[in-house]
Amino acid sequence: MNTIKEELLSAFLDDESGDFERRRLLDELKKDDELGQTLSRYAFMGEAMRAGKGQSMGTGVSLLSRIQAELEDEPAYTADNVVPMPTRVTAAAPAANAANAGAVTKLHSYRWLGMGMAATVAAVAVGAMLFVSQPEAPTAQLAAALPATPSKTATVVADAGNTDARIQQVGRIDPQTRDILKQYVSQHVKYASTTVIAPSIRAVSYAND
Amino acid sequence: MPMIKHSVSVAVLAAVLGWSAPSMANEAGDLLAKMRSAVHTLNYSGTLVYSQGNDLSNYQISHTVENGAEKESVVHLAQGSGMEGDTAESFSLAKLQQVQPQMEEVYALDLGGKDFVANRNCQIVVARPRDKMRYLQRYCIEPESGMLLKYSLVDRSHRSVEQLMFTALELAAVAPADPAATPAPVVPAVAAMPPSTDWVFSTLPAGFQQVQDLQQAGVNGQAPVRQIILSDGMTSVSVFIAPPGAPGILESIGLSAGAMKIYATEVAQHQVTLVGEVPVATLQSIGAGLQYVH
Repeated sequence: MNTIKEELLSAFLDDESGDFERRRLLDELKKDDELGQTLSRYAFMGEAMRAGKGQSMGTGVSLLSRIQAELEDEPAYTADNVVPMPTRVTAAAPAANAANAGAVTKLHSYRWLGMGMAATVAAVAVGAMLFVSQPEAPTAQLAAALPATPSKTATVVADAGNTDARIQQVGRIDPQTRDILKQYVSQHVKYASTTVIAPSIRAVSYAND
Repeated sequence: MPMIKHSVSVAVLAAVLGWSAPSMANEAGDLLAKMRSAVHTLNYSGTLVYSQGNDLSNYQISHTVENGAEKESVVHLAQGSGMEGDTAESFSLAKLQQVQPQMEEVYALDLGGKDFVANRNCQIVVARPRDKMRYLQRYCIEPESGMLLKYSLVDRSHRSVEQLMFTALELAAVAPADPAATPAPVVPAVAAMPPSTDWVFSTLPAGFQQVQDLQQAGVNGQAPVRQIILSDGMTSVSVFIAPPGAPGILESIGLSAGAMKIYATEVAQHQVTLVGEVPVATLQSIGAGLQYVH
């Protein structure tokens, strides 16, 4: 293992690596089995040291309680910071909806995130960019059409520094919505897992984000 | 004369390819089925790296089968946290032993090259989507044991949205079940409902079909929420339907977390939220086809 790989590994384990270094480390791990073993060994050593200092290794903690507990710690924007703002939401009457016609548009109050107009506009813009950056053309078209049409689709949240938005960005939504999304994500992971091993890792990954 | 030789060569090549393609797809399907069984029946422990977008993290995983009951432990090594002793979930398509028939309508299965992961040889199997509505899935499976060593989800820009790879792995023989032991009681966590008749999908993306209809408890003691699970055989989407008046998501939203996408909208005054490891356009398409029938 050469010095560059050691440095990549060290930076990752010290949580000092950036996106580029992490990608490079992943590429190296694919090619270098010895590097993978070293990573495992170092990670275990770190784990043992943390356990020796009295930190829990999560024994007996259930999957869902971990998800709930970790997401609870995220910052929430309280009702004090929420200002009503009119927006258009298409609410189709049930019968009309069944007939797939006659959608009625009405104004709903809109809970505004208390981060200031500029920040919110930036968030929506980056959110739109998030969807535009998706490879699917229909999504991009929908996002592009947002300002002109009273569409039901509105992108709200994204990470300004990273278009790969993370689930913890739910923290920018009002607490009620956040609680609901937390429950939905955990129920999906629990009851609708299709891939092997990955769901467990996903669940713990989200719980620790 | 050279023209005839060329034509013969092309015909032979086409015949060979025509014969080998279904054979490889069958072999890939068999290996996938073997893997789906192996990860639930083998005892294994190891460490793996997991990347989601640009994030990379390290996990320790352990899986044991005792008297037919699965136990799994996943610990996030970087933070020393995780969960342990969680029993197998009540429903998972991953436990299906056979590849669902409709899956082959929307994915092309193929065998890739060989790889060497965690000191073990593995065979690459690719499930390539036939449309834009799902991600490419790439597996590297040890042929002898069927154990999954590497897994990735790739979008249409050839960008990996999620990856998982073992860096160390130990496989142990599974102890035969003790016939005297009492099997672990199966406690249904949620109420399974008969197929929905009040909610129907006028259209669905190709390959998707309803596989489960569950009644989930509402948030903070509120009215129950319906969870309809759709699957194309390789991936799934949950459609959560909250009744009118239940606390809901106040505006339509779209969120992305690596492979997992969330899309919320309103149908017939019900708040509908879709969650799945598919592109957002797929969630939007499913949501658009959902109808409430009195």
